[in-house]
Amino acid sequence: MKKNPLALKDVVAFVALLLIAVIIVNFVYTTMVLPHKTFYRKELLYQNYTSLSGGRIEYLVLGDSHAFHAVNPDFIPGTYNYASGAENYIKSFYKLRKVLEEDNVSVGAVLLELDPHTFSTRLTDEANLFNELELYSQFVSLDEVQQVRDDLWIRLWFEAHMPFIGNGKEFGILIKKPEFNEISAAGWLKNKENFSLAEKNASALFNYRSLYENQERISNSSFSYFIKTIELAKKHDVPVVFVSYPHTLEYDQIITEKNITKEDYYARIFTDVNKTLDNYTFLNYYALFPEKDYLFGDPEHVNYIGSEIFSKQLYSDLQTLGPSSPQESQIVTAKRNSGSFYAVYILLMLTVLELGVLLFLLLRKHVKVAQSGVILP
Amino acid sequence: MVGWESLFSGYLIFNSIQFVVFFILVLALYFSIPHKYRWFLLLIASAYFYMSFVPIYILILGFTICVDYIAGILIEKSSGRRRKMFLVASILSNVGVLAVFKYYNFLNENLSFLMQPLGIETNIPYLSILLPIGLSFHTFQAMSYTIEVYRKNQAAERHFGIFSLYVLFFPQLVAGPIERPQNLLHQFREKHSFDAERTWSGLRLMLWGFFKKVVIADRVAVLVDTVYASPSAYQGAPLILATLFFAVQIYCDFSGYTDIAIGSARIMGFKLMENFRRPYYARSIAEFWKRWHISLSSWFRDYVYIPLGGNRVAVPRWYLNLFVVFLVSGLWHGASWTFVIWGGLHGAYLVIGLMTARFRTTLKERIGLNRIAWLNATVQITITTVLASFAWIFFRAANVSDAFYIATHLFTGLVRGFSEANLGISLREIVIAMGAIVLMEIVQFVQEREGKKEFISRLPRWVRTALYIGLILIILLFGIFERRQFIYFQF
Repeated sequence: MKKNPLALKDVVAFVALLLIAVIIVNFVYTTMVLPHKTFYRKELLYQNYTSLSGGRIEYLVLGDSHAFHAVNPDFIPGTYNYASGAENYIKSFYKLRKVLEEDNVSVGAVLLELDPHTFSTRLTDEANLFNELELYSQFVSLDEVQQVRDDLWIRLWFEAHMPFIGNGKEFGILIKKPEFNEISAAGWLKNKENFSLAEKNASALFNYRSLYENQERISNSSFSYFIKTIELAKKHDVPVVFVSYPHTLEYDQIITEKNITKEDYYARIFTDVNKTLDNYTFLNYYALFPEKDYLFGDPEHVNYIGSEIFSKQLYSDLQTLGPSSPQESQIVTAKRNSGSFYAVYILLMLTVLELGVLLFLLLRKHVKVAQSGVILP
Repeated sequence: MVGWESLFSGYLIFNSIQFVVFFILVLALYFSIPHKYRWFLLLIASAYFYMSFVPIYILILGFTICVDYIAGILIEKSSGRRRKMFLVASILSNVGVLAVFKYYNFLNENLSFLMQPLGIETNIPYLSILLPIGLSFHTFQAMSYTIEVYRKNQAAERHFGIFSLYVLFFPQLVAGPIERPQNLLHQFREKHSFDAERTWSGLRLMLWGFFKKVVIADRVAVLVDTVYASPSAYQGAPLILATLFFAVQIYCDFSGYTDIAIGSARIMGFKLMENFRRPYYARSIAEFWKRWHISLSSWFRDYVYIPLGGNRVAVPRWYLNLFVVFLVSGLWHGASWTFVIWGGLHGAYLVIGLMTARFRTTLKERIGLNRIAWLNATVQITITTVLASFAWIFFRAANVSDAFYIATHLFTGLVRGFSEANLGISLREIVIAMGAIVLMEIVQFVQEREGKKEFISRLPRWVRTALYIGLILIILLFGIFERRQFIYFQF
C-alpha cells in the first residue's frame, strides 16, 4: 500500500461511481422499461380490474400461454385471465394465494390449466422455475422462493431488487414500444399468428422437443404445488375447473408417435386430485378443433379467431356444466367429431342456410346485414 | 434467512458469486499473512477449490502429485537407463490415470465393437464414473514437470507442499494454461507484495474474461445448444449460423476463462503464460495453432512432435508426425471419435497445406493476389476461419452421425428451421451478441496494435474510469447469469 498511496482512495471513488451508475440504470429500468413488460403490465391490469369489479372475479384463469391466448374474457363475463407464458403450478399457487389471501378477492371459480405438458420439467427448469422475481417478490418472500429454487439468497435479492441485471435487451422497449392493446383489460393476449401458413410438421416437432425431449413428464415440485393450489382453492370454497386447451392435429400426431400418452397421465393426476377434491370439473378441449389449423397461431396455441370460438364454447359449457351446478365430479371431453356427426352437422347447417336464404329473399328490402366480428380466412 | 452458509457451498466456477467471495477471502488472507505461510494458504485454498466439484477426486490428484514428486527426485538422482525408467514409470502412471478415468469406457466400447464380428464377447464392465474435472490439464502439467527434470531443464522440487501447489494452483487448475515448471515453480518461492497497479491490471483482465464468458459465450450458447441438440430439424443457414456461433462461443468461453485465470493469478503476483492471440486472425492453420490454446500446442510440440523427430526427418515422416500429433491432441480433448476426427481434420489441413504450398504460391502470383497485401490477408484469414469452424462441427456435435449430418446439410435447404422460436434465441439477442462480438474485436485489435498496457494508461483517468464502469454495466445488463460451466472443464 505504501507504494501506491492513492490506491484505497481510488477504489472507494471507483466503487462509489459504479454504485451511482448501477442505481441510475436500475431506476431507469424499473420506471421506464418494467411497466412495458407483459407480466408486469398484466399485474397492473389485474389491480385495475379487481378495483373496478369491487373485488370480485367470477372466473379466475390460471395457466401458461395456452390459457393466456385462449380465454378471451370479452366472451366470458366476469373473467380475469391471470395466466402468463411458461407459468408453472408454483407460480399459479402463489398467484392464487395472493388473490385469495392478500387481496381478499372473491372468486367464483378457478379455471386451472391441465394439459399434457403442464407438469413437464421444462416449466420448472432454471429459466422458468421462479423467474420474474421483480414481480413475485411483491407477494412471495425470498425465503419461500429459496425453498423452491435452492439458490443463493443474494442472487434472489439481486433478481428481485436489481431487475436490470441480465435484462439489457429489454431497453429496446424504449425505442420500439410494444402494442399494449394486444393485452386486453382483462388479461387476454391476442395471438395474431396463423398456423395454417406455417411449416406445420417441423413446427410441431420443435414444440414437442422443447416440452418433452429430455424432460420428465411430471415434475415433483410442479405436482406438489398443483395439489397445494387445489387445496388452497378448497380451503376458500372456490370450485376448481380443470381445462385442457385446444391443440392441433399435427401436434397430437407428433406426441402420439413419440408415445406421449394422455390417458395414463390423466389417470395418475386424477387419482391424487380425487383425494383432495370432492367436486370438480375437467373440461377437455384438447381435440376441439380438428384440422382447423387456421384457428391456431402455432401447433399448441389458438390465435385470436380460435380464441373467440373457444371462449364462447367455454362459457356455454361453464354455464351448463360449470362448477356451481354439478354434485359430482365430471370430466367432459370435446372429442374430435366423427363422420356421422359431420353429416348431421352439415345437414343442419344446410337447413339453416336454406332458411336464411329464404328469409333474406323475403325480407331483403328491410334487412341490414351485420358484419361478423370474426374474419375467417 | 439470508443463508450466508450457501456462499461457501456449491461449485467454485469463475462465473459464480461463490468464487468471487472465495477469491476475495483468499486474497485478503494472502496479503495479510507472512510470506513463508502463503504457499500453505494457497495449497489449502486450491484443494478447497477443487473439492468444491467432486471432493473424492482430490485423491486422484493426490496420487498424481505423490508419484511425480517422488519420480522427480529419483530422476534427478539417477542416470542412464534408471533415469529413463523412472521417467517412463511416471509417464505411465499419469497416462494410466487418464486411461482409467477418461478413456476406459471409450476403449471398452471400441474393443467390443471390434470383437463383435469375430464372435467374441468382451463382457468387460463399464465404469460408471464422472470424469474428474480438468483431469487432462493437471495431468499434463504434472507430466511436463518430470519430463523437464529428466531433460535437466528443471531441478527436482524437494518441498512437497510447493510441488503440490504447482499441480493444484487454483487459478489454472481446471482449464489451464498448462504451465511449465520453469515458469511457475520458482514463483511460489518469490515474495509478492500488494501492488495496486498490478491489481488493477489483473482486475481489468478478469473483467474482460467475464465479458467474453457471460455476454458473448453464454448468449450464443443458447442458439448453439438448441441447434446442435436436434440438428436434423435444421438445414442450411441455421446450421451455418450455429457453427459460426460455436466458433465464437468456444473462443470466448475458453479465452474468457484464461483471462480470469491469468488475471486472478496476476493480482496475487503470479505470471501465467499466454494462451490465446486472436486465433481467428490466423492466416493459416499452422498459425492458428500458434494462436489457439498456446500452452497445449506448445506442450505437444515440445513433448510429442519434437521427440517424434519433428520436421528433421524425411518428408512423409514429417507429415505423419504432424498428423499423429493432431490425432493425439483430438483424443486429449475427449474420449470420442468426434474429437479424433476433429484432430485428424486439423492434421489433414496442415499436411495438405504443406503439400500444396508451392502450388498456392504460384496460383497467387498468376492471379496477382500477392500484390494486394490486404486482399491476400483477408482471403487467407477467411479460409483459415472457415476451415477451423468446419472442424468445430465435429468438436461440438453429440456424436459422429450428427456431425456428418451437419457437415453435409450446411448448404441444403438453406433456411429450414430459421425462426426465432426454432433457434431458441430472439433476433434482438442475436443483434446483441453480434454487437458484443464487434466490441470485442475492436478492443482486441486496438490491444494488439497499440499494446495493452500503453494504450490504457495513455488515456485520461476519467476516460479509463468511464470505460471500466461502462464495461461492468455492459456485463450486468447483457450477461447471462445462469452459472454455465466452462466448456473446457470437461477435459
